[in-house]
Amino acid sequence: MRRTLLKGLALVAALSAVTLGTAPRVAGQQPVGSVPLEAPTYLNVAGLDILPVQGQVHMLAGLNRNVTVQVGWEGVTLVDSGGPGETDRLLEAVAALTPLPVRVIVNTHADVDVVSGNGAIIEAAGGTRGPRPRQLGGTQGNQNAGVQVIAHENALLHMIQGTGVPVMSGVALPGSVFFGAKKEFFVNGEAVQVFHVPQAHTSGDVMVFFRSSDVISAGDVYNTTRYPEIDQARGGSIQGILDALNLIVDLAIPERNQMGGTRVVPGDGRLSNESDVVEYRDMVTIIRDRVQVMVEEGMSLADIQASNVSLEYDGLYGADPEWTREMFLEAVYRGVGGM
Amino acid sequence: MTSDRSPRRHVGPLGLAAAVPAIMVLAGAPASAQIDISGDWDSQVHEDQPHRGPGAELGDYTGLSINAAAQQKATVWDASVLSLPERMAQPHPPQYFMRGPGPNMRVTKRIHPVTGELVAFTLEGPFGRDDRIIWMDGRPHPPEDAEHLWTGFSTGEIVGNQLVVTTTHMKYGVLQRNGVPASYKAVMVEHFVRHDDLLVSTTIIDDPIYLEEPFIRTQQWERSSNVNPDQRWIFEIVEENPGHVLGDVPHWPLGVRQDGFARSHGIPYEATLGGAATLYPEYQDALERLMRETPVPRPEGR
Repeated sequence: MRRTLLKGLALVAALSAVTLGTAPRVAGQQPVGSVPLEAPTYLNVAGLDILPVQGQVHMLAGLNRNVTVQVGWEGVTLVDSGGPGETDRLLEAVAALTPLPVRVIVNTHADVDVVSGNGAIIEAAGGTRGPRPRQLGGTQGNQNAGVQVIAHENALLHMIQGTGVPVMSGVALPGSVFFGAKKEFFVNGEAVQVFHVPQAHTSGDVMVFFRSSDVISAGDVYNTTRYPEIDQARGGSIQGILDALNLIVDLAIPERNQMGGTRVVPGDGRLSNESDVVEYRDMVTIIRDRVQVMVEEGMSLADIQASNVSLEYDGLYGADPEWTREMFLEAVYRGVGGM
Repeated sequence: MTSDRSPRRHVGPLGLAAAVPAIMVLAGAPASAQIDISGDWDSQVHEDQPHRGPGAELGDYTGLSINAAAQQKATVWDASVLSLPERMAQPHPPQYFMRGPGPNMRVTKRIHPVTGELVAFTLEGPFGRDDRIIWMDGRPHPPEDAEHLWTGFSTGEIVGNQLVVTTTHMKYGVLQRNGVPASYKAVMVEHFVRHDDLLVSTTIIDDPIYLEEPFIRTQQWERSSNVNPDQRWIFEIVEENPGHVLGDVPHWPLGVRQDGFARSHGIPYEATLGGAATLYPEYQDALERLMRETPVPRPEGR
């Protein structure tokens, strides 16, 4: 038994060494004369780019959204589980990082591309972990094996009620929910904080802060490819988005001169640090302020949408056909009191 | 939405790399062609000095091939934003750091310890010390969703008597220090040419978000043994605004008219807004018409 355990640990150590050896080093945060000369290897598995972030955290890019992966001696923590039909590719990419099983899934909210992999991943890992009510798929099996799924209570309600997602049931539902400001846990030798960011994209959004790795997985309050998506029908608001972005700015600490430091994995788009979030926060703030003034001046929604209120940002964030500039402006308009 | 004043003309990095052979013929000297840019270099800031030392005046967008989106971004920019704790330590971005004050720089060759091959040039000295690495070993640029850096990610190759450097993965930056933006989707190609102890770089920025056509400018350095890169390795973040509330973002209201530059220099306001059309000789006619139709009072003493 002991020999088996040692062999397992040795395998993990070897794989970790391989991973670290191929991890691209980020330039610009250390004296350039000390940057290693070896060219990095960018892993692409099942069509997914596996981007080392820092510490124990990687970012998988290439699904409908980014998935954050923390890998350590206990196993794998996933932030979000991907969309329908994406589970096999996701697990194949994770298997390239470690042979150990998924132990934790955190759902940042209840969207189709966020939670659809829950059930299949849990099934692949042999079931759920921890005490669990029978009506949520609980069994009398080993409570220390399997996957623990964490989400905010409002997100669970969206899943149960089928609000914004198909109705979910059984083991796919998060069994570890919370209704306060945050939830904390410790996995893979690392403290992890899950912050509820109220009334942001929805009423059930959370951000995940891997404290030792110094990485924030932001969920859909921060995307680099489109304006922030505000689902007002499920409790989202422009002020909630701004509060969440400012929380990231508050938590993040750059290493030197706004370079490096805390990294932020967006719901969609490129890996970021505080500076990128500040640009995005400023954009959202400026547009909110402008729409506020326009509403106070009596402009209609149509007038605002026809104006140049977001001209300098539309080329960067206004091209997503599923969340258009007009939809964003309407959400802001409603959020600042436009009728 | 983009400006309709002229058709957009954007080209890829390879196109940019080949775009200025005529300039290079003039700048380079084949008889003494050199391609090693290592050494200490003293910046020669005589070209556009007011834009580089003091910095461009508010509302001065002359000479820039920017579109309407960039004009709006620049016009509402408020310098007070640089007093925010989360912004006050920003270095200069790649789209600007080879231009703006200096930089005096130290370029060093990184040689592979076994093969002796040139792996990279390192370039120390940009404002904020986001020192550069120019990889010369043919490595690929990172995937699209990899982090964008204050240095960008640069690769170089020798083409004739030039070092041609292509930079991607840049942060959201500026073209000059009065708020004229440069997007993170930009691609920058630099052509370095040595002429004995003079070094010239021609920078071409192609930005599909903020430029109507690629933006080109040049910089010069003189080789020196008496130059040190900027020693300010760390900028301290301090409390400049007591009572500052996280989330406050200074900016001018939409529609503000930054016409101080136009009035102080006696230039029609429209002519200060930049744009590709203003870069060509044909704009002389338009400028004369503007001067006739909307004469600007000449400042005293001019």
